Amino acid sequence: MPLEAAVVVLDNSEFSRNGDLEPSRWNAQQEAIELYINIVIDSNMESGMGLILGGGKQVRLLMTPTNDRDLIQGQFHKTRLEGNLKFSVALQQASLALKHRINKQQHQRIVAFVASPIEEEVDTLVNLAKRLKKNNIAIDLINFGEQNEEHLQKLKIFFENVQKGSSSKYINIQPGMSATETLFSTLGNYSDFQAEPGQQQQQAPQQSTGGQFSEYGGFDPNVDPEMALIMKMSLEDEAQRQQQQLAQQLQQSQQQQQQPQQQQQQQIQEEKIENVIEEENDELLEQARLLSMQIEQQEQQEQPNQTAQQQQKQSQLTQNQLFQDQNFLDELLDDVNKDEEQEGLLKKDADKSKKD
Amino acid sequence: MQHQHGPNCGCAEYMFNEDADDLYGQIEIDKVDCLNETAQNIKQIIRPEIDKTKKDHYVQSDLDSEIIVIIPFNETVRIRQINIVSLNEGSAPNLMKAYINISNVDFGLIETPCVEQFILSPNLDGLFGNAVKISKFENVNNLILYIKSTINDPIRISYIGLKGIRTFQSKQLANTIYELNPLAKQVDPDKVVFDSVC
Repeated sequence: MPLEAAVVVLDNSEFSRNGDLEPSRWNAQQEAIELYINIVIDSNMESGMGLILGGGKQVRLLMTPTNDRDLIQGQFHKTRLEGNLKFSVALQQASLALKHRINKQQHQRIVAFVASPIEEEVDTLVNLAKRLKKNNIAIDLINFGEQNEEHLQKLKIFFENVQKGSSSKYINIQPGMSATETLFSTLGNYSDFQAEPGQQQQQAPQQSTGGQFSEYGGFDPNVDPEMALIMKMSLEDEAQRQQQQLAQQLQQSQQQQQQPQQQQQQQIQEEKIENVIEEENDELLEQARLLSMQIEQQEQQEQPNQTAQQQQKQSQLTQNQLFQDQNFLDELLDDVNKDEEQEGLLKKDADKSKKD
Repeated sequence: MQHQHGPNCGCAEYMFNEDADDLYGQIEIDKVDCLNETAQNIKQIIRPEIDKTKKDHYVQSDLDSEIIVIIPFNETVRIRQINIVSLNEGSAPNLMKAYINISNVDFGLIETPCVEQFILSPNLDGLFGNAVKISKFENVNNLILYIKSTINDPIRISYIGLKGIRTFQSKQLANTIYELNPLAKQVDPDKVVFDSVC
Protein backbone atom coordinates (compact mmCIF):
# COMPACT_ATOMS: atom_id res chain seq x y z
CA MET A 1 0.00 0.00 0.00
CA PRO A 2 1.41 3.37 -0.92
CA LEU A 3 1.65 6.32 1.40
CA GLU A 4 -1.91 7.60 1.73
CA ALA A 5 -4.16 9.99 3.55
CA ALA A 6 -7.66 8.53 3.62
CA VAL A 7 -10.64 10.46 4.92
CA VAL A 8 -13.67 8.33 5.68
CA VAL A 9 -17.11 9.86 5.31
CA LEU A 10 -19.50 8.05 7.66
CA ASP A 11 -23.22 7.95 7.16
CA ASN A 12 -24.80 8.59 10.53
CA SER A 13 -28.24 9.35 9.17
CA GLU A 14 -31.41 7.66 10.43
CA PHE A 15 -31.21 5.21 7.54
CA SER A 16 -28.23 3.57 9.23
CA ARG A 17 -30.49 2.12 11.89
CA ASN A 18 -31.75 -0.28 9.25
CA GLY A 19 -31.08 -3.90 10.14
CA ASP A 20 -30.83 -5.37 6.64
CA LEU A 21 -27.11 -5.67 7.14
CA GLU A 22 -26.65 -7.45 10.42
CA PRO A 23 -26.81 -6.17 13.09
CA SER A 24 -27.38 -2.72 11.57
CA ARG A 25 -25.90 -0.60 8.79
CA TRP A 26 -24.17 1.57 11.35
CA ASN A 27 -22.47 -1.47 12.91
CA ALA A 28 -21.43 -2.62 9.47
CA GLN A 29 -19.80 0.77 8.91
CA GLN A 30 -17.95 0.44 12.21
CA GLU A 31 -16.59 -2.96 11.22
CA ALA A 32 -15.59 -1.61 7.86
CA ILE A 33 -13.63 1.15 9.57
CA GLU A 34 -11.65 -1.53 11.43
CA LEU A 35 -10.78 -3.10 8.12
CA TYR A 36 -9.73 0.20 6.63
CA ILE A 37 -7.55 0.98 9.60
CA ASN A 38 -5.70 -2.24 8.93
CA ILE A 39 -5.35 -1.55 5.25
CA VAL A 40 -4.28 2.05 5.49
CA ILE A 41 -2.38 2.44 8.72
CA ASP A 42 -0.91 -0.96 9.36
CA SER A 43 0.52 -1.28 5.90
CA ASN A 44 2.35 2.03 5.98
CA MET A 45 3.20 3.77 9.22
CA GLU A 46 3.07 7.25 7.79
CA SER A 47 -0.36 6.92 6.25
CA GLY A 48 -3.19 8.73 7.92
CA MET A 49 -6.91 8.26 8.31
CA GLY A 50 -9.50 10.87 9.11
CA LEU A 51 -13.22 10.86 9.89
CA ILE A 52 -16.13 13.00 8.80
CA LEU A 53 -19.75 12.63 9.85
CA GLY A 54 -21.93 13.10 6.80
CA GLY A 55 -25.31 13.02 8.50
CA GLY A 56 -26.88 14.97 11.28
CA LYS A 57 -27.73 18.65 11.29
CA GLN A 58 -24.27 19.64 10.12
CA VAL A 59 -21.45 17.84 8.42
CA ARG A 60 -18.75 17.59 11.03
CA LEU A 61 -15.04 16.82 10.80
CA LEU A 62 -14.29 14.42 13.64
CA MET A 63 -10.66 13.74 12.99
CA THR A 64 -8.04 15.05 10.60
CA PRO A 65 -5.82 12.41 9.00
CA THR A 66 -3.89 10.69 11.78
CA ASN A 67 -2.07 7.41 12.17
CA ASP A 68 -3.25 6.81 15.74
CA ARG A 69 -5.87 4.09 15.56
CA ASP A 70 -7.11 4.53 19.13
CA LEU A 71 -8.09 8.11 18.39
CA ILE A 72 -10.11 7.00 15.40
CA GLN A 73 -11.88 4.16 17.15
CA GLY A 74 -12.67 6.39 20.11
CA GLN A 75 -14.66 8.77 17.92
CA PHE A 76 -17.51 6.32 17.56
CA HIS A 77 -18.66 6.95 21.10
CA LYS A 78 -19.40 10.57 20.28
CA THR A 79 -21.64 9.89 17.34
CA ARG A 80 -25.43 9.78 17.18
CA LEU A 81 -27.64 8.62 14.37
CA GLU A 82 -29.77 11.52 13.20
CA GLY A 83 -30.76 13.53 10.16
CA ASN A 84 -29.97 12.81 6.54
CA LEU A 85 -26.76 12.28 4.62
CA LYS A 86 -25.45 15.41 2.90
CA PHE A 87 -23.35 13.67 0.29
CA SER A 88 -21.81 16.50 -1.71
CA VAL A 89 -21.17 18.73 1.30
CA ALA A 90 -19.48 15.86 3.12
CA LEU A 91 -17.27 15.03 0.15
CA GLN A 92 -16.31 18.66 -0.32
CA GLN A 93 -15.34 18.92 3.32
CA ALA A 94 -13.34 15.74 2.96
CA SER A 95 -11.44 17.13 -0.01
CA LEU A 96 -10.72 20.29 1.98
CA ALA A 97 -9.39 18.22 4.87
CA LEU A 98 -7.14 16.41 2.42
CA LYS A 99 -5.96 19.65 0.84
CA HIS A 100 -4.72 20.82 4.23
CA ARG A 101 -3.00 17.59 5.19
CA ILE A 102 0.36 18.06 6.79
CA ASN A 103 2.34 15.55 4.76
CA LYS A 104 1.92 16.48 1.11
CA GLN A 105 3.57 13.25 -0.02
CA GLN A 106 0.48 11.26 0.93
CA HIS A 107 -1.86 10.35 -1.89
CA GLN A 108 -5.37 11.59 -1.41
CA ARG A 109 -8.26 9.18 -0.91
CA ILE A 110 -11.84 9.58 0.23
CA VAL A 111 -13.76 6.56 1.46
CA ALA A 112 -17.46 7.30 1.21
CA PHE A 113 -19.87 5.09 3.17
CA VAL A 114 -23.34 5.51 1.73
CA ALA A 115 -26.23 4.00 3.67
CA SER A 116 -29.08 6.27 2.61
CA PRO A 117 -30.55 7.51 -0.67
CA ILE A 118 -28.61 10.37 -2.23
CA GLU A 119 -30.65 13.57 -2.44
CA GLU A 120 -28.50 15.43 -4.97
CA GLU A 121 -29.29 15.52 -8.66
CA VAL A 122 -27.13 13.76 -11.22
CA ASP A 123 -25.69 17.04 -12.55
CA THR A 124 -24.46 18.08 -9.14
CA LEU A 125 -22.95 14.65 -8.64
CA VAL A 126 -21.16 14.75 -12.00
CA ASN A 127 -19.76 18.19 -11.24
CA LEU A 128 -18.58 17.03 -7.84
CA ALA A 129 -17.00 13.93 -9.35
CA LYS A 130 -15.08 15.93 -11.93
CA ARG A 131 -13.83 18.28 -9.27
CA LEU A 132 -12.54 15.37 -7.21
CA LYS A 133 -10.88 13.83 -10.24
CA LYS A 134 -9.30 17.16 -11.12
CA ASN A 135 -7.63 17.24 -7.72
CA ASN A 136 -6.36 13.69 -8.17
CA ILE A 137 -8.39 12.25 -5.30
CA ALA A 138 -9.13 8.53 -5.39
CA ILE A 139 -12.59 7.53 -4.19
CA ASP A 140 -13.72 4.29 -2.56
CA LEU A 141 -17.49 4.29 -2.84
CA ILE A 142 -19.13 1.70 -0.60
CA ASN A 143 -22.89 1.29 -0.64
CA PHE A 144 -24.34 -0.24 2.51
CA GLY A 145 -27.66 -1.84 1.78
CA GLU A 146 -29.69 0.70 -0.20
CA GLN A 147 -30.73 -1.06 -3.42
CA ASN A 148 -33.08 1.48 -4.99
CA GLU A 149 -32.59 1.52 -8.79
CA GLU A 150 -32.33 5.27 -9.08
CA HIS A 151 -29.89 5.40 -6.19
CA LEU A 152 -27.65 2.74 -7.71
CA GLN A 153 -27.76 4.56 -11.03
CA LYS A 154 -26.64 7.81 -9.41
CA LEU A 155 -23.79 6.03 -7.67
CA LYS A 156 -22.71 4.42 -10.89
CA ILE A 157 -22.65 7.72 -12.80
CA PHE A 158 -20.76 9.37 -9.98
CA PHE A 159 -18.20 6.60 -9.94
CA GLU A 160 -17.66 6.64 -13.68
CA ASN A 161 -16.89 10.35 -13.61
CA VAL A 162 -14.58 10.18 -10.65
CA GLN A 163 -12.55 7.24 -11.79
CA LYS A 164 -9.03 7.88 -12.96
CA GLY A 165 -6.76 4.93 -13.51
CA SER A 166 -7.46 1.99 -11.26
CA SER A 167 -7.19 3.41 -7.78
CA SER A 168 -10.88 4.06 -7.17
CA LYS A 169 -13.34 1.37 -6.17
CA TYR A 170 -17.07 0.89 -6.08
CA ILE A 171 -18.48 -1.81 -3.82
CA ASN A 172 -22.17 -2.56 -3.39
CA ILE A 173 -23.05 -4.53 -0.25
CA GLN A 174 -26.48 -6.07 -0.60
CA PRO A 175 -28.79 -6.92 2.28
CA GLY A 176 -28.05 -10.24 3.90
CA MET A 177 -24.37 -10.24 3.06
CA SER A 178 -21.55 -9.88 5.48
CA ALA A 179 -19.99 -6.49 4.93
CA THR A 180 -16.57 -7.41 6.21
CA GLU A 181 -16.29 -10.52 4.06
CA THR A 182 -17.17 -8.65 0.89
CA LEU A 183 -14.85 -5.80 1.71
CA PHE A 184 -12.01 -8.06 2.71
CA SER A 185 -12.17 -10.09 -0.47
CA THR A 186 -11.97 -7.02 -2.64
CA LEU A 187 -9.83 -4.65 -0.64
CA GLY A 188 -7.51 -7.28 0.78
CA ASN A 189 -5.87 -7.67 -2.58
CA TYR A 190 -6.32 -4.03 -3.48
CA SER A 191 -6.39 -4.23 -7.21
CA ASP A 192 -8.74 -2.98 -9.91
CA PHE A 193 -11.74 -5.13 -9.07
CA GLN A 194 -15.39 -4.17 -8.64
CA ALA A 195 -17.14 -6.55 -6.26
CA GLU A 196 -20.43 -8.04 -7.33
CA PRO A 197 -22.01 -9.63 -4.28
CA GLY A 198 -22.81 -13.29 -4.53
CA GLN A 199 -20.21 -14.08 -7.15
CA GLN A 200 -17.40 -14.47 -4.63
CA GLN A 201 -14.67 -14.38 -7.22
CA GLN A 202 -11.26 -15.20 -5.89
CA GLN A 203 -8.52 -12.92 -7.09
CA ALA A 204 -6.97 -14.49 -10.15
CA PRO A 205 -3.37 -13.59 -10.98
CA GLN A 206 -3.58 -10.00 -11.94
CA GLN A 207 -2.52 -10.52 -15.51
CA SER A 208 -5.75 -12.33 -16.29
CA THR A 209 -8.01 -9.51 -15.11
CA GLY A 210 -6.68 -7.51 -18.03
CA GLY A 211 -6.54 -4.31 -15.99
CA GLN A 212 -5.09 -1.15 -17.31
CA PHE A 213 -1.66 -1.79 -15.89
CA SER A 214 -1.38 -5.51 -16.45
CA GLU A 215 2.29 -5.31 -17.35
CA TYR A 216 2.90 -3.84 -13.92
CA GLY A 217 0.82 -6.55 -12.29
CA GLY A 218 -2.25 -4.38 -11.81
CA PHE A 219 -0.58 -1.61 -9.86
CA ASP A 220 -0.81 1.94 -11.11
CA PRO A 221 2.77 3.18 -11.53
CA ASN A 222 1.72 6.73 -10.83
CA VAL A 223 0.25 5.76 -7.50
CA ASP A 224 2.79 3.21 -6.33
CA PRO A 225 5.94 3.21 -8.46
CA GLU A 226 7.99 0.84 -6.32
CA MET A 227 5.34 -1.87 -6.22
CA ALA A 228 4.70 -1.52 -9.94
CA LEU A 229 8.40 -1.90 -10.71
CA ILE A 230 8.76 -4.96 -8.46
CA MET A 231 5.74 -6.61 -10.05
CA LYS A 232 7.02 -5.89 -13.55
CA MET A 233 10.40 -7.41 -12.78
CA SER A 234 8.92 -10.54 -11.23
CA LEU A 235 6.54 -10.98 -14.16
CA GLU A 236 9.47 -10.71 -16.56
CA ASP A 237 11.48 -13.26 -14.55
CA GLU A 238 8.54 -15.64 -14.64
CA ALA A 239 8.16 -15.25 -18.40
CA GLN A 240 11.87 -15.89 -18.87
CA ARG A 241 11.77 -18.99 -16.71
CA GLN A 242 8.85 -20.40 -18.65
CA GLN A 243 10.64 -19.76 -21.92
CA GLN A 244 13.66 -21.61 -20.64
CA GLN A 245 11.50 -24.51 -19.59
CA LEU A 246 9.90 -24.65 -23.02
CA ALA A 247 13.29 -24.50 -24.70
CA GLN A 248 14.59 -27.27 -22.50
CA GLN A 249 11.60 -29.48 -23.22
CA LEU A 250 12.14 -28.96 -26.93
CA GLN A 251 15.77 -29.99 -26.60
CA GLN A 252 14.88 -33.10 -24.64
CA SER A 253 12.41 -34.20 -27.28
CA GLN A 254 15.03 -33.62 -29.98
CA GLN A 255 17.57 -35.74 -28.15
CA GLN A 256 15.07 -38.50 -27.65
CA GLN A 257 14.66 -38.58 -31.41
CA GLN A 258 18.41 -38.94 -31.87
CA GLN A 259 18.79 -41.85 -29.50
CA PRO A 260 16.84 -44.53 -31.46
CA GLN A 261 19.07 -43.82 -34.46
CA GLN A 262 22.22 -44.54 -32.44
CA GLN A 263 20.91 -47.81 -31.06
CA GLN A 264 19.46 -49.45 -34.18
CA GLN A 265 22.28 -52.03 -34.18
CA GLN A 266 21.12 -53.59 -30.88
CA GLN A 267 18.29 -56.00 -30.26
CA ILE A 268 14.71 -54.71 -30.20
CA GLN A 269 14.10 -55.53 -26.54
CA GLU A 270 17.18 -53.62 -25.51
CA GLU A 271 16.17 -50.63 -27.60
CA LYS A 272 12.78 -50.46 -25.96
CA ILE A 273 14.22 -50.66 -22.48
CA GLU A 274 16.89 -48.12 -23.26
CA ASN A 275 14.38 -45.63 -24.64
CA VAL A 276 12.32 -45.93 -21.49
CA ILE A 277 15.37 -45.54 -19.32
CA GLU A 278 16.78 -42.64 -21.28
CA GLU A 279 13.60 -40.71 -20.74
CA GLU A 280 14.35 -41.02 -17.04
CA ASN A 281 17.80 -39.70 -17.78
CA ASP A 282 19.87 -41.69 -15.31
CA GLU A 283 22.99 -43.59 -16.26
CA LEU A 284 23.51 -45.73 -13.20
CA LEU A 285 19.89 -46.73 -12.91
CA GLU A 286 20.09 -48.09 -16.43
CA GLN A 287 23.22 -50.05 -15.62
CA ALA A 288 21.52 -51.63 -12.65
CA ARG A 289 18.54 -52.65 -14.72
CA LEU A 290 20.72 -54.10 -17.45
CA LEU A 291 22.69 -56.07 -14.88
CA SER A 292 19.50 -57.79 -13.87
CA MET A 293 19.11 -59.11 -17.40
CA GLN A 294 21.25 -61.79 -19.06
CA ILE A 295 24.91 -61.23 -18.27
CA GLU A 296 26.56 -61.72 -21.67
CA GLN A 297 24.26 -59.35 -23.50
CA GLN A 298 24.73 -56.77 -20.75
CA GLU A 299 28.45 -56.57 -21.26
CA GLN A 300 28.12 -56.00 -24.96
CA GLN A 301 25.46 -53.39 -24.55
CA GLU A 302 26.89 -51.41 -21.66
CA GLN A 303 29.69 -49.81 -23.60
CA PRO A 304 27.66 -48.26 -26.43
CA ASN A 305 25.01 -47.22 -23.83
CA GLN A 306 27.54 -45.37 -21.78
CA THR A 307 28.98 -43.49 -24.69
CA ALA A 308 25.55 -42.51 -25.92
CA GLN A 309 24.46 -41.36 -22.52
CA GLN A 310 27.66 -39.46 -21.90
CA GLN A 311 27.23 -37.62 -25.17
CA GLN A 312 23.66 -36.90 -24.30
CA LYS A 313 24.59 -35.61 -20.87
CA GLN A 314 27.38 -33.42 -22.15
CA SER A 315 25.21 -31.90 -24.83
CA GLN A 316 22.51 -31.22 -22.27
CA LEU A 317 24.91 -29.59 -19.88
CA THR A 318 26.36 -27.33 -22.50
CA GLN A 319 22.96 -26.30 -23.73
CA ASN A 320 21.34 -25.81 -20.34
CA GLN A 321 23.87 -23.94 -18.33
CA LEU A 322 21.34 -22.65 -15.82
CA PHE A 323 20.02 -26.06 -14.95
CA GLN A 324 21.72 -26.40 -11.63
CA ASP A 325 18.69 -28.07 -10.16
CA GLN A 326 19.13 -31.01 -12.49
CA ASN A 327 22.72 -31.55 -11.38
CA PHE A 328 21.61 -31.55 -7.80
CA LEU A 329 18.92 -34.09 -8.58
CA ASP A 330 21.45 -36.20 -10.45
CA GLU A 331 23.73 -36.21 -7.45
CA LEU A 332 20.86 -37.31 -5.25
CA LEU A 333 19.88 -40.05 -7.65
CA ASP A 334 23.51 -41.17 -7.89
CA ASP A 335 23.56 -41.74 -4.15
CA VAL A 336 20.30 -43.66 -4.35
CA ASN A 337 21.36 -45.75 -7.31
CA LYS A 338 24.69 -46.73 -5.90
CA ASP A 339 22.68 -48.91 -3.57
CA GLU A 340 20.78 -50.36 -6.50
CA GLU A 341 24.00 -51.02 -8.36
CA GLN A 342 25.37 -52.91 -5.38
CA GLU A 343 22.19 -54.97 -5.29
CA GLY A 344 22.57 -55.62 -9.01
CA LEU A 345 26.16 -56.72 -8.52
CA LEU A 346 25.08 -59.02 -5.69
CA LYS A 347 22.44 -60.50 -7.97
CA LYS A 348 25.06 -61.00 -10.66
CA ASP A 349 27.29 -62.86 -8.21
CA ALA A 350 24.32 -64.91 -7.06
CA ASP A 351 23.48 -65.84 -10.65
CA LYS A 352 27.05 -66.79 -11.32
CA SER A 353 27.17 -68.95 -8.26
CA LYS A 354 23.86 -70.57 -9.25
CA LYS A 355 25.14 -71.34 -12.69
CA ASP A 356 28.26 -72.79 -11.21
CA MET B 1 5.02 35.86 -46.11
CA GLN B 2 5.57 34.17 -42.77
CA HIS B 3 8.73 35.16 -41.01
CA GLN B 4 11.36 32.43 -41.11
CA HIS B 5 13.80 32.41 -38.26
CA GLY B 6 17.46 32.57 -39.15
CA PRO B 7 20.70 33.47 -37.44
CA ASN B 8 20.29 37.18 -38.23
CA CYS B 9 16.59 37.78 -37.62
CA GLY B 10 17.06 38.90 -34.02
CA CYS B 11 13.75 37.47 -32.82
CA ALA B 12 13.55 36.80 -29.11
CA GLU B 13 12.24 33.30 -29.71
CA TYR B 14 15.17 32.35 -31.87
CA MET B 15 18.03 34.10 -30.11
CA PHE B 16 20.32 31.77 -28.21
CA ASN B 17 18.34 28.82 -29.49
CA GLU B 18 20.33 27.80 -32.55
CA ASP B 19 21.81 24.88 -30.68
CA ALA B 20 18.62 23.86 -28.95
CA ASP B 21 17.30 20.48 -30.03
CA ASP B 22 13.93 18.90 -29.79
CA LEU B 23 13.72 17.22 -26.39
CA TYR B 24 11.11 14.65 -27.42
CA GLY B 25 13.55 11.78 -26.97
CA GLN B 26 14.30 12.78 -23.39
CA ILE B 27 10.69 12.88 -22.26
CA GLU B 28 9.49 9.82 -20.32
CA ILE B 29 6.26 9.42 -22.22
CA ASP B 30 4.88 6.69 -19.98
CA LYS B 31 5.02 8.93 -16.95
CA VAL B 32 3.51 12.02 -18.54
CA ASP B 33 0.36 13.00 -16.68
CA CYS B 34 -2.38 15.57 -17.11
CA LEU B 35 -4.85 16.83 -14.54
CA ASN B 36 -8.38 17.87 -15.49
CA GLU B 37 -8.52 16.41 -18.99
CA THR B 38 -11.68 14.78 -20.34
CA ALA B 39 -10.10 11.72 -21.95
CA GLN B 40 -6.71 10.29 -21.12
CA ASN B 41 -4.81 11.09 -24.28
CA ILE B 42 -2.07 13.39 -23.04
CA LYS B 43 0.53 10.94 -24.27
CA GLN B 44 -0.63 11.37 -27.85
CA ILE B 45 0.02 15.07 -27.99
CA ILE B 46 3.64 14.75 -26.95
CA ARG B 47 5.21 14.14 -30.36
CA PRO B 48 8.42 14.81 -32.30
CA GLU B 49 8.67 18.26 -33.75
CA ILE B 50 7.96 17.09 -37.29
CA ASP B 51 4.43 16.18 -36.33
CA LYS B 52 3.63 19.37 -34.53
CA THR B 53 0.92 20.49 -36.93
CA LYS B 54 -1.08 17.28 -36.85
CA LYS B 55 -4.55 17.87 -35.48
CA ASP B 56 -5.89 14.35 -35.08
CA HIS B 57 -5.31 14.11 -31.32
CA TYR B 58 -5.96 16.76 -28.72
CA VAL B 59 -6.34 17.21 -24.99
CA GLN B 60 -9.47 18.96 -23.79
CA SER B 61 -9.96 20.51 -20.39
CA ASP B 62 -12.82 19.19 -18.28
CA LEU B 63 -14.07 21.59 -15.62
CA ASP B 64 -12.92 25.23 -15.80
CA SER B 65 -10.69 25.87 -18.75
CA GLU B 66 -7.38 24.91 -17.18
CA ILE B 67 -5.11 21.89 -17.20
CA ILE B 68 -1.86 20.92 -15.59
CA VAL B 69 0.62 18.86 -17.61
CA ILE B 70 3.41 17.03 -15.80
CA ILE B 71 6.39 16.10 -17.98
CA PRO B 72 9.21 14.04 -16.46
CA PHE B 73 12.51 13.57 -18.25
CA ASN B 74 14.85 10.62 -18.23
CA GLU B 75 17.85 12.88 -17.82
CA THR B 76 18.55 16.41 -16.65
CA VAL B 77 17.90 18.94 -19.40
CA ARG B 78 18.17 22.66 -19.97
CA ILE B 79 14.99 24.01 -21.46
CA ARG B 80 15.14 26.83 -23.97
CA GLN B 81 11.73 26.92 -25.60
CA ILE B 82 8.22 25.69 -24.86
CA ASN B 83 5.88 25.34 -27.84
CA ILE B 84 2.12 24.95 -27.39
CA VAL B 85 -0.10 24.38 -30.41
CA SER B 86 -3.83 24.59 -29.91
CA LEU B 87 -6.47 22.86 -31.99
CA ASN B 88 -8.28 25.97 -33.16
CA GLU B 89 -8.63 29.59 -32.24
CA GLY B 90 -11.85 29.15 -30.34
CA SER B 91 -10.26 26.81 -27.83
CA ALA B 92 -6.82 28.34 -27.50
CA PRO B 93 -5.27 29.05 -24.10
CA ASN B 94 -3.84 32.45 -23.31
CA LEU B 95 -1.91 31.94 -20.07
CA MET B 96 0.78 29.51 -19.03
CA LYS B 97 2.77 29.11 -15.85
CA ALA B 98 5.79 26.86 -15.66
CA TYR B 99 7.19 25.11 -12.58
CA ILE B 100 10.15 22.75 -12.35
CA ASN B 101 11.08 19.72 -10.24
CA ILE B 102 7.97 19.37 -8.14
CA SER B 103 6.52 16.05 -7.03
CA ASN B 104 2.90 15.46 -5.95
CA VAL B 105 1.33 18.08 -8.16
CA ASP B 106 -2.22 19.24 -7.77
CA PHE B 107 -4.14 22.44 -8.43
CA GLY B 108 -2.97 23.92 -5.13
CA LEU B 109 0.34 24.45 -6.87
CA ILE B 110 -0.91 27.48 -8.80
CA GLU B 111 -1.22 29.48 -5.62
CA THR B 112 2.54 29.27 -5.19
CA PRO B 113 4.82 31.55 -7.23
CA CYS B 114 5.78 30.09 -10.59
CA VAL B 115 9.19 29.94 -12.18
CA GLU B 116 8.00 31.83 -15.22
CA GLN B 117 4.71 33.03 -16.62
CA PHE B 118 3.86 33.30 -20.32
CA ILE B 119 1.15 34.92 -22.39
CA LEU B 120 0.21 32.53 -25.16
CA SER B 121 -0.93 33.30 -28.68
CA PRO B 122 -3.09 30.82 -30.61
CA ASN B 123 -0.05 29.48 -32.50
CA LEU B 124 -2.00 27.12 -34.74
CA ASP B 125 0.98 26.23 -36.94
CA GLY B 126 3.54 25.83 -34.20
CA LEU B 127 5.98 28.46 -35.43
CA PHE B 128 6.03 30.61 -32.31
CA GLY B 129 7.69 28.82 -29.46
CA ASN B 130 7.91 30.65 -26.15
CA ALA B 131 11.52 31.27 -25.21
CA VAL B 132 12.23 30.84 -21.53
CA LYS B 133 14.61 32.61 -19.20
CA ILE B 134 17.57 30.30 -19.56
CA SER B 135 19.00 30.72 -16.08
CA LYS B 136 15.82 29.57 -14.42
CA PHE B 137 15.48 26.34 -16.40
CA GLU B 138 18.97 24.98 -15.96
CA ASN B 139 18.60 21.63 -14.19
CA VAL B 140 15.19 20.32 -15.07
CA ASN B 141 14.16 16.74 -14.28
CA ASN B 142 10.47 17.41 -14.23
CA LEU B 143 8.50 20.20 -15.93
CA ILE B 144 5.00 21.24 -14.84
CA LEU B 145 2.90 23.43 -17.12
CA TYR B 146 -0.28 25.09 -15.94
CA ILE B 147 -2.21 26.12 -19.06
CA LYS B 148 -5.47 28.02 -18.99
CA SER B 149 -7.68 30.41 -20.86
CA THR B 150 -9.53 33.35 -19.37
CA ILE B 151 -11.78 33.65 -22.42
CA ASN B 152 -12.35 30.25 -23.99
CA ASP B 153 -13.98 27.26 -22.38
CA PRO B 154 -12.91 24.52 -22.86
CA ILE B 155 -9.35 24.64 -24.16
CA ARG B 156 -7.99 22.11 -26.62
CA ILE B 157 -4.30 21.55 -27.19
CA SER B 158 -2.95 19.44 -30.01
CA TYR B 159 0.81 19.56 -29.45
CA ILE B 160 3.27 20.33 -26.69
CA GLY B 161 6.93 20.56 -27.66
CA LEU B 162 10.09 21.40 -25.82
CA LYS B 163 13.46 22.48 -27.08
CA GLY B 164 16.63 22.58 -25.13
CA ILE B 165 20.01 21.11 -24.47
CA ARG B 166 20.80 17.72 -23.00
CA THR B 167 23.25 17.35 -20.18
CA PHE B 168 23.52 13.53 -20.45
CA GLN B 169 23.33 13.30 -16.67
CA SER B 170 20.48 11.58 -14.93
CA LYS B 171 19.14 10.90 -11.46
CA GLN B 172 18.54 7.23 -11.04
CA LEU B 173 18.42 4.57 -8.38
CA ALA B 174 21.82 2.96 -8.06
CA ASN B 175 21.83 -0.77 -8.61
CA THR B 176 24.16 -2.05 -5.93
CA ILE B 177 25.35 -5.48 -4.90
CA TYR B 178 26.60 -5.76 -1.35
CA GLU B 179 29.49 -8.12 -0.62
CA LEU B 180 30.50 -9.25 2.82
CA ASN B 181 33.74 -10.81 1.61
CA PRO B 182 35.06 -10.56 -1.94
CA LEU B 183 35.13 -13.81 -3.82
CA ALA B 184 38.65 -15.26 -3.70
CA LYS B 185 38.82 -15.70 -7.45
CA GLN B 186 38.10 -12.03 -8.02
CA VAL B 187 40.94 -10.89 -5.79
CA ASP B 188 43.55 -13.41 -6.98
CA PRO B 189 42.39 -15.70 -9.79
CA ASP B 190 45.13 -18.30 -9.16
CA LYS B 191 44.24 -18.73 -5.57
CA VAL B 192 40.80 -20.31 -5.31
CA VAL B 193 40.72 -21.74 -1.80
CA PHE B 194 36.98 -22.19 -1.56
CA ASP B 195 34.11 -20.45 -3.26
CA SER B 196 31.86 -18.47 -0.96
CA VAL B 197 28.96 -16.46 -2.24
CA CYS B 198 27.38 -13.84 0.02
